[in-house]
Amino acid sequence: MLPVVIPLRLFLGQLFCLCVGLAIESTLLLKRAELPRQIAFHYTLIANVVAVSVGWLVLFAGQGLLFNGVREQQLLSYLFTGEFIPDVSMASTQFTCAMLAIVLFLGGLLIKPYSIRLLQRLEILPLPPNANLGTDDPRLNALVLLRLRERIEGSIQIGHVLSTLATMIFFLVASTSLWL
Amino acid sequence: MGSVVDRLKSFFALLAPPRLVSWQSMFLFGVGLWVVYAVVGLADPENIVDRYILRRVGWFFIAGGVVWRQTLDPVKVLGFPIGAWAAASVVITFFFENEAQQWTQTGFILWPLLSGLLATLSYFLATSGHWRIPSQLERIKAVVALTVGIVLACWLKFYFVTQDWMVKYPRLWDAQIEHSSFMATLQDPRETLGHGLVSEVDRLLYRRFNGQPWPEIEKQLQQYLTEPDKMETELKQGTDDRPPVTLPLGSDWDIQFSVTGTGEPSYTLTTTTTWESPLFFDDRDFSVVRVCEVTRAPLPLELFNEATQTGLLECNTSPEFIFAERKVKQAGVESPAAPPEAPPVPTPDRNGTPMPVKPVPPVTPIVPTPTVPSR
Repeated sequence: MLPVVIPLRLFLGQLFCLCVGLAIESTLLLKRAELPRQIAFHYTLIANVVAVSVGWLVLFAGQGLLFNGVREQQLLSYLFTGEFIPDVSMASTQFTCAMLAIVLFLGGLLIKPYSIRLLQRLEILPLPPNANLGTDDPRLNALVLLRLRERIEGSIQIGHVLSTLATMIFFLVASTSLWL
Repeated sequence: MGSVVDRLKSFFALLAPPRLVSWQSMFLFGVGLWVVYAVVGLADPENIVDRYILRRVGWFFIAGGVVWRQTLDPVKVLGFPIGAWAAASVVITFFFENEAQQWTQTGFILWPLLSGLLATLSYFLATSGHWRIPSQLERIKAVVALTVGIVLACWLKFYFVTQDWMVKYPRLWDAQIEHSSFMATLQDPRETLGHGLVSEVDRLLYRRFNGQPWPEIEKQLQQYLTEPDKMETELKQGTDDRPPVTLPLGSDWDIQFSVTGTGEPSYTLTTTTTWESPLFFDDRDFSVVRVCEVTRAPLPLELFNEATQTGLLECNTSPEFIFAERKVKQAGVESPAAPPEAPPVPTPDRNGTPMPVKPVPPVTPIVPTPTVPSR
């Protein structure tokens, strides 16, 4: 049975990124959108986990496209040994890695607010209590709800950018400290 | 003692069916079918078909009883609900079991998904057996259970994909996975014991043969061949800038070094590092083989003379060699006659000629050497 190769560091790194995202985004929802503590946590938890699962499913859907030809060897070499193969054309791999990073970032930016809005429509996530002003005017209520949604989605997007930056800085510092 | 008896009593009281239509009766029916299966097996061991049917139907009823129990009242251990996981594992054992009574790959991938679904189902069933609409918090819990199930299933799927890659490129077993930021290895601790020693050997090889002038490298090779234990003594005694190498727990170790090739295209160095198990009751040896190739480094054009010709060392841990077989295939024309695998490197003849000159194929492929323990 032994030895076994497991992508354990990948899973732990993903858990770490999830925790950082949870902390930063829920704090922003708490302070900027002024949601109650539990609702802010539920919103960020569901948005992050949905984004991660959608990302994995898209990865498996595009696996045949991503891992073919010389690119497969380059990506596997990077996955397993941490370095690319020298003397093999790098142009395709560089383009793929850059596109992957951009698509991951923008996809998270789009999916996180959209998943919260969808689950609110399906009445799975609760509306925040400060959406209800107690007025009878439906137009005023709708306006308040719209403003609140903008606030929630804006803070989630800002939190996404901030948590991406934070994890990037962390891994940069960690890798340079290992290197030194 | 009394508490154990009380616990057993409460366990059997839990299994006693309160009415005819209940999960207990379904579970006990499955267990009864298994008793029949055992009796049939004792009476007629060659009756495979009936026993198979009895076992499968017994599993079906046991799975149904466990799922029923779980949806009524999820079981918790230390606050973590494991009822859904247990029920899902029973169901998967019923549906996704191969002939060797092991879970298939699909079964493993479906396990977290199914347990998430069963956890969600338990929120929609009331204790009385009727459907109900879950509360606000339970809806959130159900969505989290489902999505976490999807993520865990994707993790398992990715694990199986990496295993497929290991099968497709078997030389990945030689790669230095410690340097990767995605993968990790689980190994026998007796086998990881010598990794410091092996990296020390790597460093010594690189210091001696990488970037040195070519005549210097040939002189070094001559020295190492005339004194076969030179590398071992160097590591055991330490040089002026390196401390002596010792393994933890004081286990003994040994290095065998051999050279093949004429040096015309390259020399092939085979370094076998062997260490003993530190446990006194097993006398197994563990070994790691490094097969390295010393070639002349490509020269810059303006410095084209013999004095600056240096050597280049590439071992079977480098990504070029891990994927070399396919590289040769893609190039196609360069080495049509080269076999995909070289014959195993013979043990060095320590009393014979210092530099064994053997007829080797012009392109010397590297032997894939999985680091399995040698008996």
